[in-house]
Amino acid sequence: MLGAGANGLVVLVRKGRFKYALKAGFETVDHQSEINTLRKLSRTETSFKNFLVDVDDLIVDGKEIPFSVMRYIEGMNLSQFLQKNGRDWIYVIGGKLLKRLTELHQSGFIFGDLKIENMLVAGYGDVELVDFGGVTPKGRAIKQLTEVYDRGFWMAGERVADESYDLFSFAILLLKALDSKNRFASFLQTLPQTRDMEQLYAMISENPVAAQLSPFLRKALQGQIATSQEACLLWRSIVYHKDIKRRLPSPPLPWLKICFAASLLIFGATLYIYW
Amino acid sequence: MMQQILLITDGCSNVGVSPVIAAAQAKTEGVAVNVIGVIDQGELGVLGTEEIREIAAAGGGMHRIVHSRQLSQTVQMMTRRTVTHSIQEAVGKELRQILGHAQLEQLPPGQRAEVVQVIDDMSETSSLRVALLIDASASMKPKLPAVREAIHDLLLSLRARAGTSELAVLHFPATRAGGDDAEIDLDWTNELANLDKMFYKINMKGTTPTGPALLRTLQLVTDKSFAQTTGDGMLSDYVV
Repeated sequence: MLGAGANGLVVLVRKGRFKYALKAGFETVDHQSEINTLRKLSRTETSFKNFLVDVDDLIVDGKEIPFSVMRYIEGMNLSQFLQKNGRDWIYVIGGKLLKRLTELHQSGFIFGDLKIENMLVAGYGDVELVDFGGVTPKGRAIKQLTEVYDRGFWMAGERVADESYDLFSFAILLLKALDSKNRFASFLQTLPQTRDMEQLYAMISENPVAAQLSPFLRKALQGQIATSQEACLLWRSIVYHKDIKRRLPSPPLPWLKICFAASLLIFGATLYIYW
Repeated sequence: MMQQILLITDGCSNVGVSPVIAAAQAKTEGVAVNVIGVIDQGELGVLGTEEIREIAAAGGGMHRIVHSRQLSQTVQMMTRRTVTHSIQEAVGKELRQILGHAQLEQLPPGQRAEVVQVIDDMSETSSLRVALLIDASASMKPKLPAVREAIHDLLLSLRARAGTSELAVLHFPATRAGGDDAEIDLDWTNELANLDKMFYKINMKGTTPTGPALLRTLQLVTDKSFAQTTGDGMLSDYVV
């Protein structure tokens, strides 16, 4: 079994030497809704093409259970990948995830329920999105969300499907993946009155890798990045500039020149005193 | 436009971001990264060989470990093969769309000949940008004459192509302290330059910042200037 969520179970199945993911839905309407979205995406000229392979119903104990067969995605989740291969991979992975989101957005959809559990990383930072249960057409209400990733939870915006909604979740996703102190567990316990974005900003400055991504993360959390295309460009410029940031603290003092100047001063003072 | 980075090195990276990550980033941007390990006395070791293999794998390119005598022909072979490979992939994609498969062998001989002809033609006429990134650490010093020769040969081959071709050469670590991560020895050109003075004044230091150098080279290849912003003074965010 690959996973169990609020709306169904996913199992690994085989046809000959090909592997697929079979999802059995608990709620017919939700399941069908997800299939409708996947079908539309599978027809686009994007990386989601041919994602959906088959759709049918099973009869188990006299009950009809709808199921769908999708492309099988190998990989591990982001936290595991970073732990195994090093945090610096976040730069490549972030860029690739943004590309996926851009493709989705250009097809007219918002992912909606973007979280660590809904993306897999494999190979050299290759990213795939899984579980399209939360995918919503642009402009509609978000139908499936996970609290900590939802900007409504943080009172930072509406639960309407637009590109900046996904970008907010994207920023949270990165922070969560880099969160070595598991601060996010405590965020879930907070009451709306005590919840504050400042806690997130504090996390950003305290975490070395997040601090390098700070300009991007802040903008995304504040809803200042309107489109994922804009996000891609911003992300890219950060990847190239992070090495500059390390050098910005003042250049090493020219000790030799300082000592030379000091010795001249002392020489001059000596002459003055003795004459 | 085909874009390649060819890294010539003889050791492990030991400072800065991992070159494997830098190569993965290059691949994301459509730039293939090939690696040639030049060893004359077996100084590469297991770690160095492994790193070279990983950089090429992440960068979607090839790798070879050769003697400096074979450097010239290896550089040319790799450059040519990478172009053909990229075009084959692109053509394969189109075939898959039209026929549902990309197996050349399954096509009848007449069609197969046509497809291969298209691949050949495109390989010859497509625009090509190759950036050579040379490791200029102390141990590379005796191999630099071979590198110069390889550059000269590559320029000759590139000039002969029908499609526009450009070559750039960089080395790392940079000669000036506090400068770029890689220094440009030859900016984009297809003119035969006098290469005798190249690498003349190299400050051979102990560090091998392969990753940062690759990133700097990637920037040069994709032509984005250092100061590119999204229109609202992003660099100002860095002046803390």
